Amino acid sequence: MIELVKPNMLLGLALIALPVLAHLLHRHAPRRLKFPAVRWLIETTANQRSWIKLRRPLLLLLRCAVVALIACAFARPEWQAPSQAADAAADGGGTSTVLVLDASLSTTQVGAGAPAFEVLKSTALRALERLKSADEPVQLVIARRVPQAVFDDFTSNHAAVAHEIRAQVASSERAELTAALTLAGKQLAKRKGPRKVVIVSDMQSSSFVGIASIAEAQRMLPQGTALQIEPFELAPVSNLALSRPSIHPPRPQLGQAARLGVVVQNYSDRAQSLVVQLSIDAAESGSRALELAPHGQAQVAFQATFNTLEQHAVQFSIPSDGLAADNAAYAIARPIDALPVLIVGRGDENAPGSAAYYVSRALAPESGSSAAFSLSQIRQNALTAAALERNSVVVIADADALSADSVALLEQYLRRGGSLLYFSGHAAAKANLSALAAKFEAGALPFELGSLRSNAEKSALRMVQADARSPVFGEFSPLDLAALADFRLTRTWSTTALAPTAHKLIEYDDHSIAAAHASVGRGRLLLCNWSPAFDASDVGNFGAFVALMQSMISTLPAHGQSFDAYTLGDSIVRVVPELGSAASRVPSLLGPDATRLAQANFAVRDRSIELRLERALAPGIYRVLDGTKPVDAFALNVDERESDLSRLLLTAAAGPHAAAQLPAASEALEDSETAQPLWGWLVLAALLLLALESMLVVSLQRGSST
Amino acid sequence: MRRTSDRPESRGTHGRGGTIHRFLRGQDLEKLRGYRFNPPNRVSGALTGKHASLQRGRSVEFLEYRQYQPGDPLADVDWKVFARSDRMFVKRYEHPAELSVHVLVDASASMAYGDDSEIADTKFDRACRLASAAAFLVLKQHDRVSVSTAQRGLRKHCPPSSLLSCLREVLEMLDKTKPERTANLALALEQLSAQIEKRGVFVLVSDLHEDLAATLDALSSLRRQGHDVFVFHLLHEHELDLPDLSEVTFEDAESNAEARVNVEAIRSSYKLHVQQRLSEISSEVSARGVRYSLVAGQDAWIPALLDQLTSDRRRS
Repeated sequence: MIELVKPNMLLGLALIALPVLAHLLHRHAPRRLKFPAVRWLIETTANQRSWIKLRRPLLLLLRCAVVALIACAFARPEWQAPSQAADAAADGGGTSTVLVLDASLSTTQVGAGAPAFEVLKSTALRALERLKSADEPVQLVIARRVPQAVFDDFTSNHAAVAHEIRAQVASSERAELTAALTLAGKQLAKRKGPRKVVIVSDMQSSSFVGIASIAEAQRMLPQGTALQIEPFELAPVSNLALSRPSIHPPRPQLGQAARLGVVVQNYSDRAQSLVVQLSIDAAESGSRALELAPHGQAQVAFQATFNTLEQHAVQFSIPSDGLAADNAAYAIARPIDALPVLIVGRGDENAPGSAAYYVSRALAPESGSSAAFSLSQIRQNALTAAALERNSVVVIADADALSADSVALLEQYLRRGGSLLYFSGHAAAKANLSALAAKFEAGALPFELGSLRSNAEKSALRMVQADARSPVFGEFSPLDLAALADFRLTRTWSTTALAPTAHKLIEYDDHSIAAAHASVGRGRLLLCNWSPAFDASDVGNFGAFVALMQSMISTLPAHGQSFDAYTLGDSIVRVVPELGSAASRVPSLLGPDATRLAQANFAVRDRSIELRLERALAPGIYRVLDGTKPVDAFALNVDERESDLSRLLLTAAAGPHAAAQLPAASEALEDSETAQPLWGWLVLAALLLLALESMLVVSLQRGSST
Repeated sequence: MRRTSDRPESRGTHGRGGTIHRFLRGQDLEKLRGYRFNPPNRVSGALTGKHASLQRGRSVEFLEYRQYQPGDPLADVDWKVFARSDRMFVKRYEHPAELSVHVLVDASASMAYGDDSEIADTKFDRACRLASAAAFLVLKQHDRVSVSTAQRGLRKHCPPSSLLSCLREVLEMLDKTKPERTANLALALEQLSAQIEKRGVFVLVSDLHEDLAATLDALSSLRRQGHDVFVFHLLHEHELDLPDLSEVTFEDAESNAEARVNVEAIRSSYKLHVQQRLSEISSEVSARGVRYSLVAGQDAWIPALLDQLTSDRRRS
């Protein structure tokens, strides 16, 4: 079935009159001359006469056809598959329409006194009213972090759809319109006949991941689906945003100065002056004034000291602007009296000569007591999520092959921002690291292990080069660095090249890598190509090893993220410490506005209480209460991608850099891939006829007609 | 096309360059000086006895000896020569009889084609010049000449005369003739031959753009009556290679036929076709014992005339 996108262009068919007129005028043009030998002329052209008589009408026909084809091409005919046309007829001709309503955090922006989401709802209602008939089937998809179809199936009850639209509230989550379009496509795939998707959105650029053109958006929809984008009628809003609140170190020690930082981003086109305020436990704790260039970014840091082991609510804030949700950023400071370090081994940590023994002795030289490190040890088979998350650094000193569960726990630990130090001087290291690396994208490990080398005492490797600029060696003097060369490493691995994102700390005298670290997930992995175990090296004999261990452990989580900060929309799983007197009682969850939340879902697991919160509605500090006593706290921040309110200008043609104004709402764009455009073929046919016409003209000049 | 009678030098007066008449110009007479009308292939009885002479008696002017052939009258044998050489020769005599020449000019509409400017040069003008020159040559040697025009048969006829004064009548008759309609040459030749009793020479000047078969039959009939027949096929240069025009609708001057052609496109094939047709016409005319000569060009009639109908007195 052929449909015309611009049927008005068929008026161009009237231009066929031009070649007809030219033909009629040309008929009388030749001069007339009396001539004696006409008989011979007629005899000369006698064998061509019938063909000659046909040529001029044929020429006229060709010219008329060229004009007609070009006029039809301008009408942009498109071929709809016959099955779709039949489906449309069978379905009674109603267009199935999906209204996609953007309810992401960015729609809470307020421009010129008008909340954006209210504007979008009005737009959606108008789009609903504009549908061709009052009983066209409609589905409403709300674009949130997880897009949601409001109705089980398409409904012709437009009043119900309007009611649902009016009832919607903007979320605090990030939404990807890509996912919402995919859901709309799934909904439409069940429908027969004409299909249409109407997008009602603030067209935030970051919401359209991987979509730069109308055609790319339509690829997510079933064949023949029209895509209509409603214009967002709100003046551009300037926005300043806070993001990435951080506490360094993540678990500051009591009495130790901690660095509280936050990133300030100016998303407007003009320079902005502002004041960033810090409050700890709702008490004003400092402020910084700064000026940001257009689209500039700055890191603002405050010094703070914590003197109690309680969890402290940290809040950064800036003056209110067009988007209120990102004017505050939250973090939880969880001071500790010492850095919690978990040593994973075979269970022989007390056996002199094992790696775990040397590590624990290096971190707590004074018979297990240390002011800086809080050591705990666990067998590799006894690893739990709770055990991991209670510690800032996990050291795998000696390990046999890790179970799949243990690898999965380590993966989650790294993804959440944990710091892992792995001594690879044992045979199972390669398999363990490969299993762990397989959980991440390629190149997650700082370097790959080759083959295990057992070097004789005389040919033992030595650490000859260390990166003195690394924070690990920040307090090392050149003499201290030289002392590392005294280590004799007799069991090491051959190594591959350093991963592009990794940083090499120490190198052996054969230029293989001795130690390197890299960011994995949100955490860090420091891989040491040796083991402090007695049978793998003699490092345990040297005081430099103590300094090296303490430095590596203390600096490893320097860039780690807090376990107590989440992004709105994340699924939150908290392991609440074992409750004392009221263990059997279900704790409660208190939201930012100090109201108890019903969504909290607690479950007892491994003698701990696990809290699972599928969705939280607002950024802020959330507290878990045992009765009235706070036992846990965590912070929720908005997704910083929602702060960028720049709007996407979808182009009609594909191309990430091309930009064009959006089509008008009333102009439905047909799917260029599914509805086959025929204008190109028409133009091609016109060109072929033109070529034929030219050949005929040449032929005509060689012949004659009577 | 301008009428010939409008021409400034159309009357028979001696104009510039010794012109007597526009059909008998001084420069043309200059070229004819020294020639006499003597068609080279007059039927002279190569096969003696096959055709009885219309004339009786014997001429007195010896012409030549010829070896005796069976059938020759014994009275013609020169016995003196036989006695001397023991070989038989026949004496031949030339009969200085008065020559009758009949010129027929095609005056059909197709003959009006040509340049109609001051230096008028239509096909009919050229035909008239040829006819006038022939008549002049014949009258100059005191032989009889008649000049006629063909227009739907015999239209105008100046009866045979050997008086030089009749040349004026011929010129006036030609001058007053306007080429139009068809010629019907076959009828004209038949009508002309009916008025002639003695054998003579027929000269036809025409473009032959009509029923060629009928014309050929008429020519054959003349040949059968013992006349010497000469055909001057007079064409305009444009009839051979078409005028320099582009898109033209050609109308036939004598019929309603017309042809719309792009001249440049058809020129080569037309020339080829015309050559073929002329070759056919020449063959068919010659096959009937008629001398054929193609005359195409402004002054091409002069060499054609000299070649076909004259001999150089100084050489003869």
